[in-house]
Amino acid sequence: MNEMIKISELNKSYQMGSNSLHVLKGIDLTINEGEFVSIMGSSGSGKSTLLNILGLLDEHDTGDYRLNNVLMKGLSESKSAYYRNQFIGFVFQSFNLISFKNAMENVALPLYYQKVPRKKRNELALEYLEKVGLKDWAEHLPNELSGGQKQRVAIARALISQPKIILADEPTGALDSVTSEEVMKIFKDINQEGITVIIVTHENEISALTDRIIRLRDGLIEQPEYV
Amino acid sequence: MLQNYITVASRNLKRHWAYSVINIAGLALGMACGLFIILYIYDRSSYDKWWDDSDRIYRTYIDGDFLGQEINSPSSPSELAATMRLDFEEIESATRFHPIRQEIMFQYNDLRVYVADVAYADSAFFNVFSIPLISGEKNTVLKYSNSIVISQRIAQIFFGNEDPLGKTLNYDNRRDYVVTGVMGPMPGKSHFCYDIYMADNHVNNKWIENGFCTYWKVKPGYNPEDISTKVNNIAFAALEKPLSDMLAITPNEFLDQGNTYNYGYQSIEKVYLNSNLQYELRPNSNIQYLYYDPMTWFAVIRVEPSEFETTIQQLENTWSQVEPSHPFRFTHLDKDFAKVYIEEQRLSKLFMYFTILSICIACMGLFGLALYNSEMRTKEIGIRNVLGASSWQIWLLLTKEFGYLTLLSIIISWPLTYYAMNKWLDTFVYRVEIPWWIFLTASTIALFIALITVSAQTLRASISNPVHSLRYV
Repeated sequence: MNEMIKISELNKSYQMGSNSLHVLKGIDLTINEGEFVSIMGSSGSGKSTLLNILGLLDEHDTGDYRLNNVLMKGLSESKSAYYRNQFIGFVFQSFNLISFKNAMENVALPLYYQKVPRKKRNELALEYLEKVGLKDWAEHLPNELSGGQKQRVAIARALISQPKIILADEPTGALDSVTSEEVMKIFKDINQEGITVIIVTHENEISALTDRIIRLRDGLIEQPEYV
Repeated sequence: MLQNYITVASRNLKRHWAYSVINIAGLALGMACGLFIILYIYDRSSYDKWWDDSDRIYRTYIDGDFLGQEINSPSSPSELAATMRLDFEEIESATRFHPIRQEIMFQYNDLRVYVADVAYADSAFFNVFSIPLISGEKNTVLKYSNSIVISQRIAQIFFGNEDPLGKTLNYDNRRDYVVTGVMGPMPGKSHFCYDIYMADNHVNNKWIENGFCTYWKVKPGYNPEDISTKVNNIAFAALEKPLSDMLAITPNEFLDQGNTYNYGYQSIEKVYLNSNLQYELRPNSNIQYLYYDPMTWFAVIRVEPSEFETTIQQLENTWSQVEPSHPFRFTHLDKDFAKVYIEEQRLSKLFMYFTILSICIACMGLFGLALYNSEMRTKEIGIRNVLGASSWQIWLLLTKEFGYLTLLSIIISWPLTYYAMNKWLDTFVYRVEIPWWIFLTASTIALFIALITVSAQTLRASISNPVHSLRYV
């Protein structure tokens, strides 16, 4: 099976005034294409830092990171933006929808940066909204949607550029249990279409729905466990 | 408590230092502009308000159409002031003077000096106008036909530390005058100011000739409108003889032919700002000042710039042979023109300073707006970054929006500017057209300055780390 993510000896530190905070302490991790993985850990364990590095939102200090067999090192800002746009879909706990754009426009936004014409990207946005059951809400602004609906819009936005990986940071953190289950079902469906899904969560019920749990403690990965 | 307020305020200022700097600097600049404008307005509106009883001093002017010629000037007949003094019970005092609109040569012993601000005035001049006299008595200084009153400055030029009183000043090789008074500096600004007043109490009894400026002080409680009506009645009656002699018509026939002839009045306090008659005592943007100089004789010579010194020397040599009694002098025509437009030059300088200040304030406002906008859109910028927007695309997005705003402002400013410029240019006898490229150039510069101003901030926002941006609430 193709290795979608392979990291070895990954280190990351943050400078806090005169002190250095070593967050990731030489992590080795491999995630194959089509896996459904959750990353768990207590607050400050480094899980969000790891997700940011995996999503090319932050740079690691030392070690190797290969995404779809391409070494991610010394990337320019525009190259990082390109890889994010082409390979990765993001889903956040706070949805991160643009408040003055309606659901369809929010979903279509990644395609704008791929220079897809407006008409085409709106058609595709409607298609993906239909996939998450929100076609009728296409013209609504985010403040007119419930939490679950917002997260489904965010998932549709993450999917529209047909990424190879979905990175979700606490995607159910702001949702009730019923809505959380619905969202996790969508992730499961996405995964079954062959897309690698990586979820950062601190909820055992959520991680239990994934195929593999990676536990982080003090910047190191504990023994991986398969569900 | 006060200390607590100051501590909290300084903490807030420190926390939002960029906003604080922009707001305080913008406010300071704005207030400086406001204060400057207030002082400027105060200065301009202080003209002629310092005279004793300035609220009771008026000037007569003529407004009419006389045999096809438009007359609109602060002039009146020579006998008007004397008539008002003698026959009008409402009048406390009235005077007239006649400015000589050219430089006059005065001589004391061997010293010959051209003086620019010279006027003839009658004996009541210092009764109406409270110009301080250092020496001389206000009722008599201009009583005799050879009296002359000079300013302290002129006294210093001609007589140094000697006492000027009783000294003889020769007027242009024509007549000797005896100094009877010396004026101190004027305590305030006025629409007229002369260095020399020569006595002229002569009355020619020709009401049809308007060559003098007549100012009158009305007694308290009397209406100047009534006085003006009386003046018009007297002047109209006095027209009968000259009209009969000159044109063989009666005053009524004169009016029937479409002629008009009316004396109006203006408060001295309003002359400087509100009066824009022909032949005002001082230039106020009227090109006609250049041409109204009936007593001036001069030759206009075009000189090759490279030969300037030689040519002037030759002219001086020739002049001293032809007219040895007057020293040779010359002026540059462009500088003479510049004198006429001195108020415009002053205004244009003010416009320039205020334009620069306005641009600074506008830029600070725009920068503040860019700062506020990028802070408000921090999260959006982060989202766009995550979704694949490059810094360049983010910068373009933010800057483009400010570009549209600036363009909108420019479009709004065009008709306003065009209207204001046309209004201003209408005050000139000869005016230039406003070319379209002026608008285009100014707009391009404005757009460029605006983009430079916002670019720094939008660039900073566009290269910010998306991880930090997404944490922004």
